[in-house]
Order: sequence, then structure tokens, then C-alpha cells
Amino acid sequence: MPDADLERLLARAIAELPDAPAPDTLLPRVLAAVDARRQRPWYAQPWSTWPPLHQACVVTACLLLLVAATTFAMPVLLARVSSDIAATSVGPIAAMVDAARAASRVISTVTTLAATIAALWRALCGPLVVYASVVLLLLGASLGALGTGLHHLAYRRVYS
Amino acid sequence: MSDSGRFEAFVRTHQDMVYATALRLLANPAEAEDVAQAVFLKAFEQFDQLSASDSAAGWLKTVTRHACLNHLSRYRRRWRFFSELVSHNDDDVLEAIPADVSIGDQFERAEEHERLARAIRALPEHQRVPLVLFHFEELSYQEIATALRVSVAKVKTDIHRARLSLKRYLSASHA
Repeated sequence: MPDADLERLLARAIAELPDAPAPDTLLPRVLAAVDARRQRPWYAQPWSTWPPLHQACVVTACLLLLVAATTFAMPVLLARVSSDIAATSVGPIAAMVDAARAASRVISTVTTLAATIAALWRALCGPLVVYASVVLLLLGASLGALGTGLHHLAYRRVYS
Repeated sequence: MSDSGRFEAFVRTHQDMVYATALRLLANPAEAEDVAQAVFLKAFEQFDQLSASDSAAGWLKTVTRHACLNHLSRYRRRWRFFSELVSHNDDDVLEAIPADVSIGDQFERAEEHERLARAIRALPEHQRVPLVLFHFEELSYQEIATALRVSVAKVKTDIHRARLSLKRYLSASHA
């Protein structure tokens, strides 16, 4: 049967399917979950259900915090951090930077080497592995057959 | 009528549709019930707008579909793995479903529906989900491919295989 006919047949059969009735337990479960949600304090409920006044208060508080942080706290913090860096950069930080640079060079060399080996393997060795395996298997099988033949011949001569 | 009463009536009206949609996609009654509960809780959060809207059923259906696909995507990796693993013997998947003997003419049609529904539920997930999205949710191949994050070709193949399995099953049950 062509797929279009099959699709029509199936669509008709499926269209006649009634919805499976929900189990009797679904409604009580939903109502219990809704009740449990109603029992929660307003701040533990989803943001969209908060009273509009509370939503407005929180938005205003967040904006005020943001403005205060960018106006007052950030310059002080930046000044503090830059002075700390200036005070300590000669000793331990400089040593850490040097160690990080050395580690980065080692990692870069290892990565390049691994990529080169992988590329060489893919280009040269990879395709040959299958052929080499087949040749080795054939060689092994023929040697085995030869050995078995010789063995039989030798035994025949010994016992005859 | 109180808010609780209105919401209860709302759930009563739509619970079969929500549950059936979830059951078709998930093929697991317990998981379908969990998803249906989550959908109604989401509906409760927006009940003020939903109760006044004509498109509440459509909203519920879309949210249910998304919830089911999210639920399935948790097992997506396993789903893809098994999709590749069982692709060679998908055609035999419905042979394991026993053909029930009809207990009377008056129940024959209902029984046939039940058997088709069971046959759809018995399809492997990678066939059932696109089939349900195509035939029940009326999504296009492209929309299904986007929703499931697979290629359109895979969607078409899976739906075709699902139809063949169902066709064999329906032919067997009519014979």
C-alpha cells in the first residue's frame, strides 16, 4: 500500500480514537497540590502570582541596589583591588604568572604534538591498518594450513 | 462560584484531553498523570487569564506537549541509543501484543479503539512520539524535527515505520 493511502487510513483510524479518560486520582491530586501551593506564604509562590504592590517594591529595591552598587561600591572596590594588586604584584603574583606562562607553553607543545601524531595516523597509518590486519590474518591462516599439512604428512610417513 | 470551584470545573473539563495527550506521548500512565498535574498547576498560576480565554484548551495542549517533550528529553540520550540499537527489528515490535478476543458485538468498536491505542503505546519511543505529533498534534515534519532536534529524514523514516507496524497490526486484528 502506498504511504499516502496508509497515512489516510491511519489518520481516519486515529481520528476515531476517543481520549483516554483521566484516572480518578488526577483531580484530587491537582486540587491537593493547588491547596498546598495556596498555603505557602506569598514570597514562596511564583513571582507571577505575587501581589502587584509586592512586585513593584521588589523591582524598585533591585533597581536601587543596582544604582547604589554602580555609584558607590564599585569605585571603592576597584580602587581597593588595584592597590592590592600593585602591592603584591612584585612577589607571589609575578611568580604565579611566570608559572602559568610556562604551563601554557608545555600544554601548547603537547597539544600540537598530539594533533600532529593524530593527523599522521589518520593520513598514513589508519587506512593501512585494515589491510595490514587482513594480510596478517591471511598469512597466519596460510601458515597454519601449511603447518597442518606438513604435520599430517610427517605423521603419515612415520606411521606408514 | 468560588475560585476553587471554578478551577475544579476547569480541571474536570480538560483533564481527559490533557491526560490523553500526555499518555499518547509518554505511553506511561503514571508519568502521564505526573505531567498532567504539573500542567494544571501551571494553569492555576495563570488561571485569571486562562479562565477568561477561549483558547484555554489550545494553551493546555501546547503546554502538555512541551512538558512531555521536556520529560522525554531527559532520556533523550538513552532514547537515541535505543533508537539506533533496535532499528533493525522495529518491524516486529507489535507482534508481541496479544490480540484480545472480543467479548461481545457491543464492545467490539470500543475494544478496537483500545487495541489501536495500546498498539500506539507499544511502539518504540522514537516512532511513537513523531507519529503522535504528526497525527494527533498535527505538526508538520519540519516542526517535529525541530521539536525533537533530529533530521526531517529521520522523522519521516520513523513515522513510516510506525505506520507499517500499525498497519500490520490493524490488518492482523481485522483478519
